[in-house]
Amino acid sequence: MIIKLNVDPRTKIIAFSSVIALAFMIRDLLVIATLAAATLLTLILSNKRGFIIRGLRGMIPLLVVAFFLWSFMHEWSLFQRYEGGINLQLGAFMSLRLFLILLSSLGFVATMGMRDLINALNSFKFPYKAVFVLGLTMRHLHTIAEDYRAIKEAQSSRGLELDKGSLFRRIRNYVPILIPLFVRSIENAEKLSLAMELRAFSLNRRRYLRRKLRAFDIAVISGCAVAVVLAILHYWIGVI
Amino acid sequence: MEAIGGGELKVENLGCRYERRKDWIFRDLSFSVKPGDAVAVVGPSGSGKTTLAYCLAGIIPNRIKAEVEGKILVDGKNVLTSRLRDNVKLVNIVLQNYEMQIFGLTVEEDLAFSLENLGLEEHEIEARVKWALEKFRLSSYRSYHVHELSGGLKQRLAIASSIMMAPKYLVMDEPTANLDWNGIVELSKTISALKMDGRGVVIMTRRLKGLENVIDKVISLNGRNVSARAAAKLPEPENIVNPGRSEPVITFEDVWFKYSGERNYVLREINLKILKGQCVALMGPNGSGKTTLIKHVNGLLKPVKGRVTILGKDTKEYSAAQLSRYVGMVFQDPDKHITCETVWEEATFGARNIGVSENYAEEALRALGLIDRRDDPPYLLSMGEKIRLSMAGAIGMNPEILILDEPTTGQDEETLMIISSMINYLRSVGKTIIIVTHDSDFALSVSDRLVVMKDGAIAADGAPKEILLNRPIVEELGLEPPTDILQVVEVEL
Repeated sequence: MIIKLNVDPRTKIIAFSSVIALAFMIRDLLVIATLAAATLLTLILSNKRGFIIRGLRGMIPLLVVAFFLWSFMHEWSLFQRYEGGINLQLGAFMSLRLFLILLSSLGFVATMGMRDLINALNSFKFPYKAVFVLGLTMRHLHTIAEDYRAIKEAQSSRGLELDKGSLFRRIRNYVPILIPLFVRSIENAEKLSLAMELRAFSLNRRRYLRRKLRAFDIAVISGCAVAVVLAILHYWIGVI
Repeated sequence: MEAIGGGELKVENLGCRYERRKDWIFRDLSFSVKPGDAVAVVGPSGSGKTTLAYCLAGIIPNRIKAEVEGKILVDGKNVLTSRLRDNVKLVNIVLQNYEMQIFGLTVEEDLAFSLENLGLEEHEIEARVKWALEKFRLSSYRSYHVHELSGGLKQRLAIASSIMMAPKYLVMDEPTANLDWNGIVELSKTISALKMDGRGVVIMTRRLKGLENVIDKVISLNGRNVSARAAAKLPEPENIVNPGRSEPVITFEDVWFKYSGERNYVLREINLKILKGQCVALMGPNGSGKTTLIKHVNGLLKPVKGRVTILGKDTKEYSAAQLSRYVGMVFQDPDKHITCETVWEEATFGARNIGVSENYAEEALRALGLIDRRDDPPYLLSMGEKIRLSMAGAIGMNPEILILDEPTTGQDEETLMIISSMINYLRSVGKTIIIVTHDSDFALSVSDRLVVMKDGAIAADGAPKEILLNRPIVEELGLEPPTDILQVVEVEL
């Protein structure tokens, strides 16, 4: 089953940031386990399930190591002081915290396209210059990746063996790929700057296409804000 | 949109030469374009079409330094002496590499980009974007991400976005270069829309095919000494014995292919046998799987299901570099792989990699008219010469099979003639050739078999004349009609 919620990118940024902030604030095993389960369920039900599951598989060895280190060797920790002996609860808590942080980061990468991120940063009124340069860089990186693939294919078709011989020879084999790639990147940068001028580019332009947040987005953002405030009041200030 | 009116675009005694060059690219060039007219500038590779396009848009001398004489006047303003920023409202340009001109993340956003730069009010931006979406038939793609569009749609978006600056004239540099026939038909509709809107259009192109009905005037640029350099010196094919065509050299057995992570197959159930000495033209609309198919021949891609064998060798067991001894590939964009400092080094790059004698490359350079330029840096060559250099490099490896990916794109008649005679020569010595092309006339003139692809499968396979001279089949498969068919249509009309 896949649930398509079409969440606004701003909501995604706030939600993932809140989960990571909560992962650092929460100190109860049961609460962090509930939050981890809820985050996992949400991501598993998203249309990026395959990517999430592949990422989770890669995390398993790391989480196992974290569990054993925190259970048996927490006395050597530089950051936390706990009483000596085996502490399985601490191991479970710390590996869950690590799991939640990694899962949120993975979810952010999986569900947040570069375009979404730029739209969201624009909406948060980040300086236009910075956002535009970020977008342009990401777009250019894509062009460079495409060029790299095309050049590599062309050179392989001319008998260039890339992965044969000593390390030095392998590095040298990449020279006929890197030279044209470098030249093309410079050419592309020049064309891009010309194209910007042809579109009367100005850093003072106003932003357009502002999307209004829907009720669902507002509900998610409010929920995140309440959870973070409660966590601060409970764990840091100790009021509740 | 603001009403278009005002005067002609007048080019008066225009001349241009690049800094530190003796020769003028063109000189004493005079013509005019009326609002609502479309003018085509045709000429061979290196004749100065792009230079003229850059002059008309004011990129020369504003961005690219060159010695310019004469005037380009629009509404009494000389484009050559005005700032580029001011020119964009008089004459705008759609570059050959139009993808670079797209900045928006979505279609709607890209259309709004220029208007925001101009500081227009939001309601006016909204109105103009709506107008452009309707005018350029982009309404159904309004919220599409730009990367989701086909090449033809991206080009239409680039044209629409340039028009958002409300220029009186629009220059297009080789707009048909990467389009299939349906793309060209769509482009002619877009040009009609621009004309009806009262805008003048100047199109730099090698071929007018498909655009004849919308062009009002043709200007020819003759070029500089191109023919003197390009005399092909090929041996007479009659003197060489054809070794016969009995054995299959390329075999596709029930081949299926999809890119990793993708759901849909790009190649479906391909069964194909190509015999020694055949010259096969591979045609089909953009995205039909032509390039994917030829990448299976030289081992750049391996089938997901089925088997591809080249001279009896299963491609799954060999790398592309190993197969390059048997399969030579001439890629569409030679700039993507030119790495060496001289023409000679470039032509012998492949031969050196696989340890083949450099004599083959020398012969190929001679045959393709480039031997006198062996010590020149490749970047000094024209695009036509670079294509020939790329061919020389592939032929210099003495492969049994030669694949040419879109060798006709953007090429002038002279380069096409040289490529044709080289293909005929290679066929006569028993080499097998595959040519990917949209150019029906070229396919008819050089190939003895035509394979047409559609939606990843082989839609037709047979004699080129039988397929290409059959109008219903050509229309059904979305192929470019050969000139012969078009002429018949004109007579019927």
